[in-house]
Amino acid sequence: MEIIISSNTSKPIYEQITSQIKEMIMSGELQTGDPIPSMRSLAKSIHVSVITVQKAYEDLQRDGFIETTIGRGSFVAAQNRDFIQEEQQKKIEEYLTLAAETARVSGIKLEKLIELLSIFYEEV
Amino acid sequence: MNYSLEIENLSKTYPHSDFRLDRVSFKIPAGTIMGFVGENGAGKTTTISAILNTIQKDGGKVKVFGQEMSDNNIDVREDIGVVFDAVNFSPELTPKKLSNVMSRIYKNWNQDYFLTTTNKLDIPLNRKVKQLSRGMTMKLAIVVALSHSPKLLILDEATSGLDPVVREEILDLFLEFVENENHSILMSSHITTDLEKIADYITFIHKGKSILTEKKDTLIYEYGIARCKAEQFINLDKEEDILSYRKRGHQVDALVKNKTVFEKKYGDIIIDNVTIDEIMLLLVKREG
Amino acid sequence: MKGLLINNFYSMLSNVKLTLGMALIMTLAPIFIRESSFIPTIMGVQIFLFVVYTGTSLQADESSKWSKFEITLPVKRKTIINAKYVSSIILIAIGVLISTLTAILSSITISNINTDFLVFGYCFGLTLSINTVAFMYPIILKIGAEKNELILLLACGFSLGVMLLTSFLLSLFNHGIKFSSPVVGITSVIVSVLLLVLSYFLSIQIHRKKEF
Repeated sequence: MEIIISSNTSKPIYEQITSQIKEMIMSGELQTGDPIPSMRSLAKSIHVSVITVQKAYEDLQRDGFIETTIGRGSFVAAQNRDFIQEEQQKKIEEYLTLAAETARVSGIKLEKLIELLSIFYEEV
Repeated sequence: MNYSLEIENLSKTYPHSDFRLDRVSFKIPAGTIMGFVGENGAGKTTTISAILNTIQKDGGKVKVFGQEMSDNNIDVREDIGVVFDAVNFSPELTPKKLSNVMSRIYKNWNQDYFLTTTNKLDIPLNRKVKQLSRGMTMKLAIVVALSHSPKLLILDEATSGLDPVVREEILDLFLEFVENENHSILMSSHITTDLEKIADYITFIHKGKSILTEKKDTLIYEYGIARCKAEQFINLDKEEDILSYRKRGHQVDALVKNKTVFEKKYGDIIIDNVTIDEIMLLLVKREG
Repeated sequence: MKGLLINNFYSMLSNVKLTLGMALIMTLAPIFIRESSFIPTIMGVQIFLFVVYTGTSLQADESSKWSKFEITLPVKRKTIINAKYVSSIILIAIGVLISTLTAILSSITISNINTDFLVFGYCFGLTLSINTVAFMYPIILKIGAEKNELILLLACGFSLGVMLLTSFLLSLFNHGIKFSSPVVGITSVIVSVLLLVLSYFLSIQIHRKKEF
């Protein structure tokens, strides 16, 4: 499992860890039941403090992406389809907000925006 | 919560000097790395000396793995690895001879680990300590400390004098050390960038007092510096909103505990991320 | 304590080798000097040489802060002092062995050598070296090793003083007694050993309270 940490972005390291693991799970790279590294060995391999990784794992557990059992380690949890949909929708809302704002600021009309969206949706 | 080290109201005065430790208190949970930060003369080395009983304390309690430190309790010292900001060893010894000495002193001395790690860090086994560079002797001291299978590492400026390449190798050794959740580290350091990378907690000490202990992530991601114009500063609720401040030219820098909360309240004031160094400056050079 | 003893020896090794060389060369003296009255002095110096570097060794420990690091080892402070005294005693014993070579050689090269001289040789050497150790350790532990050469000088003076005093006191009981007689010699050694024991307890007290 490869996690890349950027120290330059303002995104906290624990958030970078959670989003990368979430992406791997949602893209299918990590399947239900797959083991993920222990907090401490991940901390060592990406050169960050243990508590940082601990926070990331706690967030992932709270959001239902992983399960941690004492003695057995951490595993990818069975994914709740609805929850994933919700997460993906949140992401889409983010992107659309950006698109809408950009359009408004540069004077591009709503109809044009919808047209562009249809084109890109059809493209595979 | 399991604590590797607990310091409660540690105090020490010296008869002919102003310098003192004044009720220093902090705790290190097992499995974590605590960075210990303070300006020169703040009391870091004195605190560490008091923990290890090389100096006598005037008051307070020090517990390592729940046990009080005393000269008689030699078993607890088997589990503590120490590196001081000095050569640490007799100058005439070579690393190999030093390992012969240590293997007879520590019950759990691991000679294989010692040989492998000195090799990994390019420490020549048969050169006398007095002929080693400062960086080499620090590396050697760190390896010796790790080689007797300790549960707690106490390091006083152990990485200063090491170049960035070697420092990274050493930091990795420390992270490897805390892979075991019963292992902890107390490290004092001026190189706050190292602490920003691997420390879980930071304790700030100033003029003999422990002034703040906090999770490093909280300090880096929640704390902030508000850069205020004079008029903006007047409007702040000094008690509620800020921890300390200092004037710099026409602006006032104020240390803020929670960036997001502050931003909601004072949207027009610029607020920056903060580094450990800046926090220290704001706590040390504070005007209020 | 074994580890500490080994550390003491490693750290004194180059000095001990030097001393050994000098002492062995001195062993040859009876070949060239056929005057038996010099032999005690030679034997005495041979033994004394082995404790001459006590101060420099303590100084090296101080400046490298090994003496601070030692406190963090799983040993009691008392053990650290034990190791120091035992190391010195072992060195003195080596000195005694070397001076025995001189004694043997001189009984061969000097006919009819008076064995009193040889006994006095041992006693002179033992008194000198034991008192030097007894004097140096508590003083250096108390005030530090910076002036260790001066302290060594004072220690010598102290040792000679002990011998002279012993000789003087004995002469009050026995007017004819010579300074270099075995009685004076052996009494001096006994006094020195007592002083060493005193010094040991003093060192333990000083070291117990010492801050590093």
